[in-house]
This record gives sequence, structure tokens and C-alpha cells, in this order.
Amino acid sequence: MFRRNGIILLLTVVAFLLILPTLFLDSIIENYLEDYGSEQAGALVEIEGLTISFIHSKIEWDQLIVADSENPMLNLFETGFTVMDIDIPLLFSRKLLVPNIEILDLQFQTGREKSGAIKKKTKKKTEKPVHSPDAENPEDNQKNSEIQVNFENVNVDSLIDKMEMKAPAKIDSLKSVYANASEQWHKELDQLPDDQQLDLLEDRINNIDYKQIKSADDLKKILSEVSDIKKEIRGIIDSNKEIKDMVSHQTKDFKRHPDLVKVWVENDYDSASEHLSSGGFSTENLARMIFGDEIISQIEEYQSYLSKGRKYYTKFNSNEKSEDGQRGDGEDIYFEDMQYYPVAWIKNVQLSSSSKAKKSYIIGSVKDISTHQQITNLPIVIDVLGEAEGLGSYKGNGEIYYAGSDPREDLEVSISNIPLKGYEFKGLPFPLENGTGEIQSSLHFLGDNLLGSVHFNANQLEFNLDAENKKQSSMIIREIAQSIDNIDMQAEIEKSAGSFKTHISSNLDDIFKSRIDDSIKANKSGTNTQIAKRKADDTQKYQDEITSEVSQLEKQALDKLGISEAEYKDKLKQLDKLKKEAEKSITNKQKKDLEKKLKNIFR
Amino acid sequence: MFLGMTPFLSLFSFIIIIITIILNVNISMFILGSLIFGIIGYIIDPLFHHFGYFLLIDVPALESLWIICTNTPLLSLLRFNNTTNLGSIVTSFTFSIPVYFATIFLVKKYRTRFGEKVNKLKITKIIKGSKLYSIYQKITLVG
Repeated sequence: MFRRNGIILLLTVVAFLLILPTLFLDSIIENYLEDYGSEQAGALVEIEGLTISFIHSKIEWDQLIVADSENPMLNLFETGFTVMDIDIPLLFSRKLLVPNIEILDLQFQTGREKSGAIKKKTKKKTEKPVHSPDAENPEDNQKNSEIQVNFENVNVDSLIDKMEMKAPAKIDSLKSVYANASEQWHKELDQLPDDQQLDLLEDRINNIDYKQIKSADDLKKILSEVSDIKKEIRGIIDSNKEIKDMVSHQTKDFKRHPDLVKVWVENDYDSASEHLSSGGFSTENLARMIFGDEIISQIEEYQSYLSKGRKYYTKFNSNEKSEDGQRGDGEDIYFEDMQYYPVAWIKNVQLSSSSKAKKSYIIGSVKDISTHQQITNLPIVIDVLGEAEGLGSYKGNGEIYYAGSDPREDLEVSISNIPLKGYEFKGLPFPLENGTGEIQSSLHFLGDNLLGSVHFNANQLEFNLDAENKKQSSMIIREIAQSIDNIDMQAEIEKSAGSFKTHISSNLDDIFKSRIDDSIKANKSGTNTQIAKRKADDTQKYQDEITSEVSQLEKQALDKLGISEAEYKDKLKQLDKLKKEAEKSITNKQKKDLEKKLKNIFR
Repeated sequence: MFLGMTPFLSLFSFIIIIITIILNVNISMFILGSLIFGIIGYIIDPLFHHFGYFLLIDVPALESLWIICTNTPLLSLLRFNNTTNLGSIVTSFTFSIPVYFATIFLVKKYRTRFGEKVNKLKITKIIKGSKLYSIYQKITLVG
């Protein structure tokens, strides 16, 4: 039944297979882990000096470098010497259980000499775009820029200049009313006879010659002509009067407008005075301007790290089939059971790193990193503290739990002794000469939403007032910078439906407000005089402008009326005279005959 | 049959190959069977997946068995929790007995009716005279 030669062949092969891996196992697994890690991380993973000891259930390596898939010229992190305990029997269940890892010299975002990108099949990414406060909250941005304007121009003259004067717009609307009225007048005026028509009328009057009357018919003809001309002239006089009445009626109204203009201009200046007394800015806006962008960008940095965590967790959980799949890919089914372990579970990571040259260290632990939190039912618990050059000492702890309906990350970070020398607050154009800061932040992410608070406290502040040389800051900003020796800022942050809502307050709000108020009070009499003078000047200017405009329009209309009413009445008198002369020129007998014929002719 | 039906790169296939080497199995039939059932297996692969899924998910009585299989060291390397793997293994076992008797019956029929005629064919002589055939014979001699 058994094949003797077959057994010998098998034993030979087994012996060969046992000896080879014993000699090369470390490098085989090192290569395998590099390939597998690179595939999972989407960027190059490099391991140096990997050794495996089955007897001691330990894996060690000298260096592990994981490149950042989104920025291949940076490493996501790198470790120094690391020793990892592993549960060997579970490896035969295709499970990786790591009770403990001790990592030395852990560093984040270190530079690379060569790109850490790996060639991969292109897939359309459906990741959400990185939050941009400018794009998502244009209102906030606008508010900030408005503050910037006021902030840099805290003096009476410039503030008045920046005031939103409503009078000019109202005056412009009056001018458009005048233009419409004038247009209406000119339409009516265009219907009056022009010079040529008036000349023709004049000619018709001059052509009437009573000496030519020979018969009753001649007389009748002349009198009829006189009557027609009179009718036309009376019509012109009526139209003329109508237009004149209209123009004078409307201009009468318009001439009341300068009083209205006076009220408008005065109201504007009264508002300006009120604005000045409040310092010309909103304290809420001020705090947002100085700290808003900094806080949002910091949160975005945290978010970018957390989103990487979510991405990798989803990747391990998605059971994605490889695209160059082979037979038997099928689907791995996992069962909820107490005995069941996730594919990989690192129970405890001990971190430590120190650099005397950089005066930095980090110690801490990360617990229960697993590929399937729904099996372990344990969140990742992070607890680190350390110190870094340029950052001060920091402490962070958090819980990350992805097995719920929405991924959840709760983080508490506090940083103290932050050296602030050289730091420049937005809105204050002076770098700090001295000072230390402290930050306490608490961030709670749930799905796409965030609820958090940030508290920033800076002490022993000294601004370098001589460093500002690009632009001449107002004295008031300089004085404020000089008087600040402490900053205390509290921010409440909420993110929902993709947009940030922030409420930020700080003691700078009060400092700025009181300093500007003091400054204005100190200059109150001068300020009032300036305002009163500008108010009077502007009122007069706008009133004159309106008066002149109305007069000009009225004059134009009346000029176009041309021949005055009196002149037309003279023409009528002239016609009456002609009529009388014509009547005188005929005999009494003829007159009687004519009276009958001319009945009704002068009506 | 087992080697052809189940995914080739698996521990189960490896075990089958070892058994074939150790036991006095007809290598010709092993190769022929693997080829034929490999083609069949490739075609009905989706059915293995559905059958395996049914066994893993829709039969609660077997759940504890699968948990043991997936949690037991070494046994878990057989990947019984994989739908295609389990489907093909169970199918192979189920059909192994009828296939065994059917094969014996067919071989007997072949030998009595077609064996001599086939041996006399020119193509058979060419194959038997080729280097490939001599290598095959050496392998069977080793067995």
C-alpha cells in the first residue's frame, strides 16, 4: 500500500524544506512582511534586521519604516529597535496575536531620500476632500477680512472713511427720480410746436391782409383763418401751461429734498459716532480672526491622521478580493465567539523614543489595536507623553472605537511650555520676543461630526515692537501689543454636515475693546469736532448738489418751453386787431349781409 | 479528483499530493483525474462558493464545528471558513465514492473494449516513443 520510494522522496523534500527556511526564514518573512505591509499601507514598507525566535516567541527588528501613501517623500512613521512577543500556536490558526510590543525611537513624519510610492492599480478614490475653511465657510472668511481692515485702521479718520454711508446711495436714487421726471417733461415738451411750425403760424398771421377784402366771401375766409389760428394758439398756450404747471409742481417737491438729504447725512454721521464709541469692531470676530484658522488647521491635521486609521481599519475589515484573484478566493466567514481572535490583535504597544540632540522624548502605550474590534469589543487606547524641541512637553490620551455604527475617536491632548519666541499672532504684526504657552484640547469625533474644545493660555509675553518694518501699524495696535503679557483663549468647536462652527473668546477681545475705547475717549473732543465738521461739510455738499441739480433741470425744461405765454397772448391780440380791421373795412350793408353768413364763425 | 476540484494553492491540495506520493496510487489516473476535475472545478467554482456559503451560514447546527475548525491550530490552515474551499472539499468527498466505482467500471470497460485498439494506434506509439513518456515511466518507477 505504501510507496517506499515515495516516502524517501517525501522525507528528503521535508528535510530540505526544513533546513532552507531555518537558514533563510528571517529574510523570507522580512520580504513577505515588506510586500504585505506595502500592499496594505499603499506605500513602501521597509524592515531592517528582522529576526524570529520561535523558542522565545519573539520577533525583533532594528528598523521599520512606513512611507506615507499621500506624501511619499515623507514617512508615516519609523521605529528603531523593536521587540515583539507573539503567540506562536495562534499563528497556526492564521491569527496574529501580539501580547506586547516594545518600540524604541518612534518618529513621525520623517523625511525620505527616495520616494516611498509603490506602483499600484489605479482606483478612483471617493475620499472626501480635505476640509477647507475658506471654501466651506466663506462668511467666516469675509468676517475675518473685515476685521483685518478695521483692525489695521483704528483711527477716527480712517474709521469714518470705512463707515458705510447710506446717504450717497439715497441721493443717487433721488437723482434717478429727477432724471425720470426730466425725461417725462421733455416728452411733453417735444409735443409742442417747434420753431419751424411757429414760423409757419407767424407766416399765416402775416399773410392776413384785410385790404384785400372785396366781398363777403373774402371776409368770411379771412375771419375763418383768424379763428383757426386763434384756436391753434390757444391750444399751444394750454399745453404750455399744463407742462409749466407740471414742472413747477414737481420741482416744488424736489426743492424740499435738500432738507431730506440733510437728515440722511446727519443720520450717517450719528451712526459713525456710535460705531466709534464701540471701537469699530466685534470682539467675537476679533477672536475668530486671531485664533480661528490656527485651530481649524490643527484639527484638520488630527483628522488627517484619524482618517488614515479609519481607512486602514476599513481595509482590513472589507475582505476585499485581490484583483488578480485565483480559484478559492471565495469569502472568509467569521463567527462571533469568545474563543475567536481577530486576524491581528496587538494587545499592548510600549513606545519610547529619546533624542538628546533634539532634546526630545516620547513614552507611552497603545493598547488593543485589532483588525476586528467587533470581536475584541475593545477600543484602541492611546496614552502618550513626551517633549519635543519647538513644541514643549505634551500629553495625549484617547480612545478609538470603530466597531460601533459610526467610528468614534475621543482625544485629549495637552501641551505645555510651548516656546512662543518668534511666533506671530494673526492680526498682530509683531513677532513674540518671549513667552510660553499651554494648550488643552478635547476632541470627540463621531462619524463625520466633531465636538470639541480648545483652551490656549500664553504667559510672559513680550512682543518685538521694533521688528515690524513692512508697514506702519497704528499706534493703538502698538500700544495694545505692548500691554499684552498674557493671552487666554477658549474655543468651542462643532462640525456637522461638513461645516465647522466655532465660538472663540479670549481676553484679547476685552483688551482691544478697552484700549480702543480709552483711545477714543482720550480724543473725544477732537473726534467730535472732526465728526461735526465733516458732518456739516458733507451735508452742505450734498444739499448744494441736489439744489443745483433740481434748478438745472427746471431751467432746462422752461427754456425748452421757448416762447412765453405772454408772447402767444400778443399774437392773439394781433389777431383780434386784424379781425377788427377786417370788420371795419366793409360797409354797413355788407356788414349786415355778412353777419348772417358769419354767424358762429368766432365762437 | 480532490486535487482538481479544490483550489490548487491550499494546504488541502498539499496534503493530497503527499498522500499520493506516499500511497501506492496510480499516478496516471491521478494526473488524468486532476486535469479533468480541474476543468470541471474551474467551471463550477461559483457553485462551490454558494454551497460553502450555505454550509457556513445557513446551517446553524454546523456553526460550532466551523468555529472549532477555524480556531484549532493547524486545522484552521485548511481554511474551512472559506466558502469556495469548503464547498469544493465537501463536494469532492461527497462524490468520491460514486466516482471511485464509476472509474473502476469505466477502466474495466476500456480495457476489454478499447485497450488493445488504442495500443495499436499510431498516435499511441508516437507518444510511447517520446521523451516525455520515458520521464513519466521513470516517475512511476520511483513510485
